[in-house]
Amino acid sequence: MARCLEFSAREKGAQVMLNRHMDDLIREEPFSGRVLGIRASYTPRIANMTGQRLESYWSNGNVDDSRPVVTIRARKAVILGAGGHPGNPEVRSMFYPAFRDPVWGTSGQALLGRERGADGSAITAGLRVGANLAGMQQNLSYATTFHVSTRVGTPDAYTDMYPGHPTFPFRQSTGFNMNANTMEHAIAVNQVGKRFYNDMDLMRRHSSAQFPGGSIGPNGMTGTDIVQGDWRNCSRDFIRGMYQAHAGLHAALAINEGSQAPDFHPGPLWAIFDSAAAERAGLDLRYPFVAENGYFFQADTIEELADKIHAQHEFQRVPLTYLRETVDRWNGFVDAGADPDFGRGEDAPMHRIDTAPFYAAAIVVVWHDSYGGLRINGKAQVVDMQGQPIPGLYAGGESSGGGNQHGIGRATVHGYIAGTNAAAEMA
Amino acid sequence: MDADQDLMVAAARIEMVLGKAYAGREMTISARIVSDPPADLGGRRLEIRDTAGTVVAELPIGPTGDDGVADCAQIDVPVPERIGRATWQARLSADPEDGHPTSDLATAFDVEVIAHPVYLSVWDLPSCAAEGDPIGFKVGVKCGAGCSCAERTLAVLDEAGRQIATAVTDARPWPGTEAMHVASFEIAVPDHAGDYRWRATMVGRDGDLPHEDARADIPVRVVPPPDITLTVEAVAEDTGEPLEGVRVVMHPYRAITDPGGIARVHAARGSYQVLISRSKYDPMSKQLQLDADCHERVVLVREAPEFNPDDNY
Repeated sequence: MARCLEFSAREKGAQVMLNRHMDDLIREEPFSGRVLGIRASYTPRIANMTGQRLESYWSNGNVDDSRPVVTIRARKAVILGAGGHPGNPEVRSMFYPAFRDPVWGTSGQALLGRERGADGSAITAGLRVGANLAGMQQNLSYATTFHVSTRVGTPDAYTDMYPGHPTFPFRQSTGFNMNANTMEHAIAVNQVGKRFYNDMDLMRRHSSAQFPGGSIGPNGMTGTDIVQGDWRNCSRDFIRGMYQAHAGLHAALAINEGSQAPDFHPGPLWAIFDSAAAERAGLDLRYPFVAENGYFFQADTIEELADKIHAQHEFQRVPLTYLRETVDRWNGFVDAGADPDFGRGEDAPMHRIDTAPFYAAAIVVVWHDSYGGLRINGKAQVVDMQGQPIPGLYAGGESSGGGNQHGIGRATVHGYIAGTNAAAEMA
Repeated sequence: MDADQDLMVAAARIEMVLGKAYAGREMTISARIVSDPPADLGGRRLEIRDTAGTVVAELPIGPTGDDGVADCAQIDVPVPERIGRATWQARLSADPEDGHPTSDLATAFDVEVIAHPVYLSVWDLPSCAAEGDPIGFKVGVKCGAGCSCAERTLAVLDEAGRQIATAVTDARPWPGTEAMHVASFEIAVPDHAGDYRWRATMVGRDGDLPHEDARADIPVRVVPPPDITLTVEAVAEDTGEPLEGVRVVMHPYRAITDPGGIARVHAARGSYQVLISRSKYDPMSKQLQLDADCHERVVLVREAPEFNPDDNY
């Protein structure tokens, strides 16, 4: 859908300036007057393996300019479509403090770029000219917005690109699936090497809150089962599920013995397992699923595994002091047939972690998308703190706040509304 | 600039950074010299002398930064074979330009010589064994300081610390490892039911550098001879075909299905929670009262495909 729109726009003569980051909005006065344009810096994405700049699929209409900073005057209006804010730890932690650790990138970070993808640039630029925010609390309303990904061993746990994709160099490994069932063969530990939750439940998720029950809701209904206007479309189980917080996520983001002042970051998480587990679960531990990129490790001993993680993972700030002790304790639970710490062994077997070589795969917490952003009115005009539209400024997609959808549908609808209204403004 | 003169007026100190000092191995050593105001140390070296005063290394000194810090090159030095604390000295070398034979800038530092860590792992250990039956298991060993553990003798000690078996590790490392060498054991368990804790250890030999006396626990659960058999027949829900490789666990007993989807668990009478799992299928559990031989057919359901949050929209 995006390609069609892009193609059409380029054919109609639209000019496209890529490789730039919108740093600031320019307004007549700091908090009053019309928005006149933007300031943008040159921030190309360079593939770290080739040293080459990433290029667009089509180039007709591209304005190739590499000046460090440019200012662009808007003839009619500025429409902000700069994405959301899950990639900016400081912005996202305003309303979800537990998510401040930069170890967690935005979903699709290899696609978007770790430094500037979904970095909340519309929010920060908008706030600087007096814009209001809306829907920030809605980030927390959807169980799917935040989750512990079942894809492990890669920095970009939300997507599954393979070699050949232009953004593969930014991830270096595809990762592999370690869902709740597969976690039967592993334990999950935090940055100091301690278990923190029932490992098999860690990645189980509830569906998002919906009424009536949606197509994959826990009531098992399909869209065609819904009887319009009948409250019983929403089953008792479904309602209970909606209000059941995902405690595994909270445990994953909780501070621990390794959290240090002033930030008290919880640090990375690791799935720890052995070669017997890899064989039982049929894990394919080879390139491109895993690579030496700091998100997957293999070692002869648990002690060496802990040392490697500490030395080679960019966000492993402290040693995994307790990993040996944790594995020994776990093996004791397996021998005893019970896990008094977290209740494993009730619904699936437990297995010792004892067969060399040993493995660690990074477990990644994903912030999938954002619902909060700049407050807009029905014309997609950005609204200020007094509830008044800021002249010449529009926003859409995840740069705007509120609403109940995300992604390309939201962006397209907002784009249509904002574009229609901006085009009608006087030049 | 006269460096010695400079150092006389400067407050200067040497900071040492030491790696682990495993007996008889090499230790990585580096240092930095901090002077205030910054002193030019061009062409000079940091001499490292051991307890006997012998120069064991000379570290080239890098340029002094504006902050007065001059980093020395990292270098490996031999470590004494005897474990314990040794006091060494770092001294700034003479200035090659003015012929000063020595420098007053020196610091003493302690080198803690330690035994080599020994890592032991025990695996393939059955979860239980009937009274007097033999059990087989593997013990892997690796020296954390890089000594080869090929063809080393490993011993198993009983609860009283008596050596009950020895075996020699393979000449080649265990598959998938760099230097973990493995010995296989087969030992009869005690004649009386109970939980026993054996230990595995590496047997020292003449000429060895000092190694930690590491022990790995070997938990041995001895059970009375089984008197019933649970036969589990596992089939796939989608195909109706028998499933091989299904794990059946009723603590402490374990079994796995054969190509015909059959697993036989020999156990004592009693009530058990039976846990059943296989890769790519949802695990299941059943509570069973086993008072006689029993046949249980279980149907395993394929796990749902990987959840994609976008499916919600």
